[in-house]
Amino acid sequence: MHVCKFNGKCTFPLIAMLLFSLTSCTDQGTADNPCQIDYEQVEIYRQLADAFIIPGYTILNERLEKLHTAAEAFSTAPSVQALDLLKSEFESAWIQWQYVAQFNFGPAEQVSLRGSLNPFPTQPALIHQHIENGFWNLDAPMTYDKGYPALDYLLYGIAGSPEEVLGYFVQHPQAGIFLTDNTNWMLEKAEFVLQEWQSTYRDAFLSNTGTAAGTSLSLIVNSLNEHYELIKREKLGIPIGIQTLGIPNPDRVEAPFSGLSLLLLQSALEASEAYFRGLTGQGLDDYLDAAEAQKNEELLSVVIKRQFQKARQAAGNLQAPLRESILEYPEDALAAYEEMTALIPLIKTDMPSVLCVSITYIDNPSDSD
Amino acid sequence: MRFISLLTASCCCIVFMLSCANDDEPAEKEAFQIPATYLFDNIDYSEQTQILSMLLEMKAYLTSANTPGVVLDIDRLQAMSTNESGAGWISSYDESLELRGMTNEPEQVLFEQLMVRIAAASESVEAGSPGQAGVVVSNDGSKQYLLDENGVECAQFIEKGLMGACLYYQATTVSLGEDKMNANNSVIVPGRGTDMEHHWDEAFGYLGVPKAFPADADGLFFWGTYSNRRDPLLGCNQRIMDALLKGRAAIGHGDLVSRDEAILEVRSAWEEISAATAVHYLNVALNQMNDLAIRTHALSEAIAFTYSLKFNPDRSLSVSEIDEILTLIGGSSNLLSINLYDSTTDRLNQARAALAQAFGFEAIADQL
Repeated sequence: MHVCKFNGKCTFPLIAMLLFSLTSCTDQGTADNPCQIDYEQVEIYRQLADAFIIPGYTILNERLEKLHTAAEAFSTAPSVQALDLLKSEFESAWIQWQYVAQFNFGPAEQVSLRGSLNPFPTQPALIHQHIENGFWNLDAPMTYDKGYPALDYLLYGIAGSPEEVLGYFVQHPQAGIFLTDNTNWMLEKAEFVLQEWQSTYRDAFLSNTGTAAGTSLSLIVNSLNEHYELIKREKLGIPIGIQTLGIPNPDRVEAPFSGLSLLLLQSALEASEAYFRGLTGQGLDDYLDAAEAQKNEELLSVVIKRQFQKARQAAGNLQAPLRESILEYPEDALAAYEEMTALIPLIKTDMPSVLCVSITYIDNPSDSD
Repeated sequence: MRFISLLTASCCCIVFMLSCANDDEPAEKEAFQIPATYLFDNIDYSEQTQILSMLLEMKAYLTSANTPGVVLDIDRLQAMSTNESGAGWISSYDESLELRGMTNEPEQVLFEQLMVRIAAASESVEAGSPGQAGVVVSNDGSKQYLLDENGVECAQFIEKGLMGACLYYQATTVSLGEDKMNANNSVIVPGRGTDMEHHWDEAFGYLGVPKAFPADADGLFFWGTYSNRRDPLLGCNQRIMDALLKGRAAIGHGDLVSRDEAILEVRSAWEEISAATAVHYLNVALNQMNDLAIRTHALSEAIAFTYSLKFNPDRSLSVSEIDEILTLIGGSSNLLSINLYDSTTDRLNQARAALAQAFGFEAIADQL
């Protein structure tokens, strides 16, 4: 009996089909080992580590430092100018997060970076409770009271106008402490991940070749897919109602208070494509080309890149703020969702089978009754 | 190498019968491409989505009575069933749609009676016990269910029973049935396809899966959820999806022979999901015979998924064979006469063996 990994990512049908095709059409097939592709994996690893991942975390650290400095300045002496600067640093730090959020393995996984920096939807009631009690524990796992989404609420949603936000912070000194605790904590997490990459993890990543679970190739393919699915589900799918039979949940967008959701979604899609391409250097696209992977008589890499473009274009057609436009133009939002969805079989089924990598993450765990 | 990649990529496979044809042998039929996803143009199964949504709302209302003190309003339940005022819907639905009217006709009365029964049971202030309706709590305190006086969790009979007598019946018998499959296939209605395509899309809609299933598993409902749960052992996700994709593509290409193959494949794959889920719940009960709440809940599920097997025109078991299995589980083939306080390990094992044998699950029956 074939046993599947986790919740049933069966490669068995594909393998069976492959075997069948080889035995029934031997005159057309070859006996080549499909896992032996003439390609230096380390080229991708070096490109990603040195041109994308480490620079990405470096920029994230710089922006989080600026964010923390701005938060301290605002907390110490609240003013409209300080709030404006803080918001501006917040936006650029959140956008930069979209580029590195997908590297959810190794050091980032070790400190649960994604769940720490960007758990949404945030829970305003919990935040108010913290501020009133003067007590919070950012290290508590799986809570929705911290990171960027909490700041989204603190800086944009806790009161109506910027002046009222300012007034709130003046009246609630604990809010300023909660704010700077958050920015400091976020920075510490990001510093750890960058330092790990710079000290030991980069070299380990470059030497971890092969296709088995845990190799760098497997980590890349899995993290790319897992995060892409998360972008599709969390940033657009749930808000437009894909888990509620079409009943929209506009408040579930990533940044309901600042209105940044669409920009964050678009940045995340851009980042995902860059991950696949290895920016402008060696990437999974080149690896697929080395394997001569085809789809409908076209290079699979070309088909994937085209679908990335379609998804990004469809997301580009949406209007900000997403929270409102998904209600006003639901057909555009659904069209973008479907273009994003169409990429999934290409990168989650076709690409891994060509590269001999298994999808090992558990997607969309369903509840049990 | 290139050939292998093509095949392993597989998502747009050329229909199999032609894949090995030599170039110099004339093909009997032109090949058509089967796409990887159900992202077809001109497709609309919004009515099916509404039916699923109504059942979802009804389920939420029914299971609210698992909390002691929550009394169900029979008028509201019936209004939900017939989509009339008083249903208290959260969402809004087309007037023409209703769960009752779309349920296999001879079974409609059964569900009406089950609703009366659960409404009455929800008035109980006692704990459930033989002869006494009421809420029961699992030994670990984590689960609680409202049972009727015969130990039946009517909410499961209604929800899962309607998955069979309504959703599965509509998909396998009505939408893929002769009348709807003889519909026009030349006039394409924008946004909807030909009538025949539309009927095929209805069947897809009743499955409750996203268009890029199973690669994409976001947004699973009812049968889609159970397909995904059985998939590790059955490999059913890809099988049922492939059959649905093949049929839709075949209709688009006017290849009714391939479409008819696909109809049988859909019916077969779907039926296995129901049968395997019944076996799964029998296992849950057999493993926890000393936990009244878990046992009765699981057996209520097992009965409903066995009962559902009746509504497929190409069912592997005859109605009388299905009735025999129902009787083994609950002492009667009539869902209204079943008494789960009388179930025995021996008879449950027999029921499991009968299902496993009928569907070739012997090797995995213990693990399901």
